Amino acid sequence: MLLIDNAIVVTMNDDHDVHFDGAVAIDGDRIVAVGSSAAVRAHVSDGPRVIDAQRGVVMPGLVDLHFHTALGRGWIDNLPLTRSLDEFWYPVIRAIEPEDVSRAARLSYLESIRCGVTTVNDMYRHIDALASAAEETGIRAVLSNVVADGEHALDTLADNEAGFRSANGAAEGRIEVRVGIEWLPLSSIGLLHDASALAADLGSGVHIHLNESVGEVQNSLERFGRRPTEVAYECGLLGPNTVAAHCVWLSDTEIGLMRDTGTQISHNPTSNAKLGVGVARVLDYRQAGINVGLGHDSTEGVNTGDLFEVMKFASLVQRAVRMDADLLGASDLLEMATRNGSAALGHDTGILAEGKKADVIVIDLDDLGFTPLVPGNRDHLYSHLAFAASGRAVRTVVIDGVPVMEDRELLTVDEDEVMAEANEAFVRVLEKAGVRFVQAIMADPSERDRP
Amino acid sequence: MSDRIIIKNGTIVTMNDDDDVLFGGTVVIEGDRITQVGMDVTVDEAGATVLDATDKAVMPGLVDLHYHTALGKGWSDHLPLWEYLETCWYPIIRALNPEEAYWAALASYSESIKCGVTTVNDMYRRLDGLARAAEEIGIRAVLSNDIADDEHQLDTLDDNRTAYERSNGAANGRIEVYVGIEWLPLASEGLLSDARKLADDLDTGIHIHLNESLTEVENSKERFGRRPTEVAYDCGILFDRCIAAHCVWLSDKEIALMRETGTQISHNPSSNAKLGNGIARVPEILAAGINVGIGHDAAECNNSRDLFEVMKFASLMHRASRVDPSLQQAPDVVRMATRNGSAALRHETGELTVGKKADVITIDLGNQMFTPLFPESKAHLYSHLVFAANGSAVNTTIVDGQILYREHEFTTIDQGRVLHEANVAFRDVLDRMVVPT
Repeated sequence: MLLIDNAIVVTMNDDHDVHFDGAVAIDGDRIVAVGSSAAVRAHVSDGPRVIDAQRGVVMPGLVDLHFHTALGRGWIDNLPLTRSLDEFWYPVIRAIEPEDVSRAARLSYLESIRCGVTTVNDMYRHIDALASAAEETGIRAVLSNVVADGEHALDTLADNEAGFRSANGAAEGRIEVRVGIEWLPLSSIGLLHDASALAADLGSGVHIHLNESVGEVQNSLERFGRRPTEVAYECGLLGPNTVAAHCVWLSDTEIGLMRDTGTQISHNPTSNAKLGVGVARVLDYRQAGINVGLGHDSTEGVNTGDLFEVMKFASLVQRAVRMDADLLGASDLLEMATRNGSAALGHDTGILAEGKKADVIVIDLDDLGFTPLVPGNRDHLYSHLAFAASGRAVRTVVIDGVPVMEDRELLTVDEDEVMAEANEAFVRVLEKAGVRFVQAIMADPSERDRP
Repeated sequence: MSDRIIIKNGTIVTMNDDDDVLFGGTVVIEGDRITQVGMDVTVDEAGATVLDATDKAVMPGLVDLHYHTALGKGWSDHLPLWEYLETCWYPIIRALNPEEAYWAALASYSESIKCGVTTVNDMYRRLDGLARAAEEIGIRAVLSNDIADDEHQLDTLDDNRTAYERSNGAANGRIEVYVGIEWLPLASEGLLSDARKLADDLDTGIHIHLNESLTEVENSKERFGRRPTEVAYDCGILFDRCIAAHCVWLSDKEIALMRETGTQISHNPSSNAKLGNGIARVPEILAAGINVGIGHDAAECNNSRDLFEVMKFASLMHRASRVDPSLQQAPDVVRMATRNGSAALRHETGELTVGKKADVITIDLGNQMFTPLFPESKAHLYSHLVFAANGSAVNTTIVDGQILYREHEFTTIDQGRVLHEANVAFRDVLDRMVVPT
C-alpha cells in the first residue's frame, strides 16, 4: 500500500474535483482511494509506504500520444519534413542496431519520466529492444513499428506481428504493441488494407502519421486521387483503436470521416511548427466531437520531450494565428494531456479515481513558477500548470503503482550511464548511417534550404 | 566577494563578432569587467573565486528587452489585450503600493535570474521600489514608468523625471531610468512630444508599447488619422534610443520608419500569442536591417519569465504560420536574446569579450536537454540552447561581476521569503483593486 499525502489532488475527473487537503492511496497497480486526507487515511490499512507531497499537486501522469524514441536531437533543425526524413530519420533508423535502439529508448523514456509523462505511444523500430527499455525504466508504453512498403527497407507487417507476439502484454500489461504505419507516401493501398486486417486479427490498434504536410496531401491526391484520410478510411484504418498523428491539413470531409469512425487524433503543435508543416485545425476537431490528445513527436523534430511545453504552445499557436485569446484554456490543455490521451489508447489511466491504474505524478508548488498562488483556487492552479510550469516542476512519478522517480532521483536506471551510452550510440549511428551534418547549412545563409 | 572570478574548463559561447565557441576555455572577470577570454589563459588563482565549468556552457547573460514586473500571474488567461488591460493590468498597478512593487520586483527578477536573464528592461510603477529590489538582488535593470494622460490615473512625466533623478546610475551604473509610455490609446500627441523632450533633457531613452494589436491600430487611425508608428514618428518618439515593444502589425511604411530612425524593436512572441494579438512580421523587420531583441513581456500575459522558452517560440511561431522550417535558426535566435538586446539598450554586455561588462551565465550540459551532444560541435550546442533547453539548465548567474545565483542557489536573496511576500502582496492588491464593471 502506497499513500501520497499532504497534497493538492487534481483529479481530472468529470467534475474537475480538486482536493486542496487531499491524498491518494494506491494498492498494487490500482488507486484505491482519492479524497480529503482524513478520508483517505481512514481507508488505508496499517503501515503504508508514505510519499509526502509537501503541499504539492498530485495529478494523473501525462500521456504523450505521439512519440518516437530518438537519438539525434538537434541534428536537423532547419530542414523541411521530407528532407529531414530522407536525409536523417530514415538513414538513422535503417542503420540503428537493437542495442542502440534500447539505449536511445532508455534516454527518451527517462526524459519523459522526468517531465511527468507516464505513458508513451512510441513508434520506432526493434520492438523487443524498446520493450526492454520500457520494462527497465518503468514507463507505460504502447509500441509500434515503422511499417512501409518493402522497397523502403523499413519494417514489415511481419516484423510488427512478431513484435506483438513477443512483447504485447509484457510487464504485467504495462507494455502493449500496436500496428504502426509510417505514412501514406511510403504505403500502397494493399499494405494499408493488410495493416488494418492485422490489427483486427491481433485485437490491437493502429498508430499512423496521417495528413502531416501539404506535401503528403499532394502525394495522396496524385497517387490515389483522394486525400490521405479518405484513403485511410477506405482501407479500414480509421476507428476508435487508431491514433492518427498530426492531421494538420484535414478538409471538412476528412474531419467528418475522423468523427464518423471515432478515430483518435494526436495533436503535435511544436513538431508541426518546427518542421514548418503548419497549424492543425484542432479547434474544429474538438468541435466535431473528436477526441484529441497531445504528443511531442520526437526530440529529433522538436528537441524536447517536455509535454508541459507542448500544452502551452498548443494554446499559444492557435491564439496567435486565429487572433483570439479565448482559445484552449488551461482546463482544456490539461484534459488533452491526461484523460484524452489515455482514452485514445483505451487505458484505465488519466484520471485520479478509485479503481484506476496508478499513474500519478507529484509537482512542486514551492517555486517561482507557481507564485503567486491564491489558496483554494482551482482556476489559478490550472493556469500555472498549463501556462507557467515546465517539466522541471515534476518531483515524483509513480507508474502502475511503482515509484520510478522520487524527489527527482530516478529509481530504475542510472541516469548518467544512460546519457553516456546515448552519446556514444549517437556518434556510432551517425557514422554507420553516413548522414552528413545537415546543420552545416547554418554556416552560410545563402545555402539555407528554401522548400 | 572577491574581486576576481575565474571560470575555467568551460565551453565558452562568446557571441562575439566571429561567433567563436571555445571548447575547454577560460573567462576571467575582474571587478565588473571581463579581462580575459581564451583557451590558453594563464592566471593566478590565489584569492580568486574559481568556478569549474567542466560540462557546462559559459555564455553572455540573456537580455529581456520588454519586461514588466508582475504580481498577478495566472489571473487572466483568456481575455483579449484591451479587456485584459482594463480588468486586470490597470486595476492591479493602480492599487499597487511601493512595498508591494518591491516584493513583486524581487519575485520577478529572481525568476529571471534563475533562468539566466541578467538584464531587464522593466516598465512598471513605483520605481523606488523597483530600484531597491534591483540594487539588492543584483540584476541589471533599465526602469521606466507607465506614463499615460492624467485621466487614466497611471504615471506622469514628472513621476518619471523624479525617478530618473533618484535612481538613474545607481548601483555602479547597473540601474538606469528611461522614459516609459504605456501606449498610444492612453496618450495624446502632446504627451508623446513631451516624452521625447524629457528623454532628451535627461539624455536617456524611451520604452513604449507600439503597434501591439489591431485594436491599437484602429484606435490610432480613428484618433490621429494614421497608424501608430506614423504618429510616434511625427511626435519624435522614434530614435535609436527608443525600444518599441511588440510591433505586431507594422505596415511596410511603418517598417521603413523604424529603419530610418534606427529604432530598436523588442519581439515578444509568447505574449502576442497568448493575448491573441497575432504574429509580428519579424522576417521582414529583420530584412529591413532593424535590430530586434526578445522579451517575455509580463508574467500576467505569458506566465513564465523563462527567456529560453521565448527563444524557442520566437522560432516556432514563424515556422508554423509561414510553413517554413528555415526561419529563425538557432544562432540567430541566441543573438537576439543576447547581443541584440544589449545593443538595443546600448549596454556593454551581450558577448564574452575582453573589456565588456561581466554579465555571464553558466549552463549545465550533463542532462537530457543537452544529450546527445556531438563533441566540439558549435551548431549542435546552439540548437540545444534554443530548441531543447529551458531555464532550469542555468547553473550560475553573474551580473556586473557579482555572483547572484550559484549552483542553482540564490546568493543575494532568501527565495522562501520572496515567494511568501509576493503571495501576500498579490492577495492584498486583489482585496484593494477596483475592477471597472
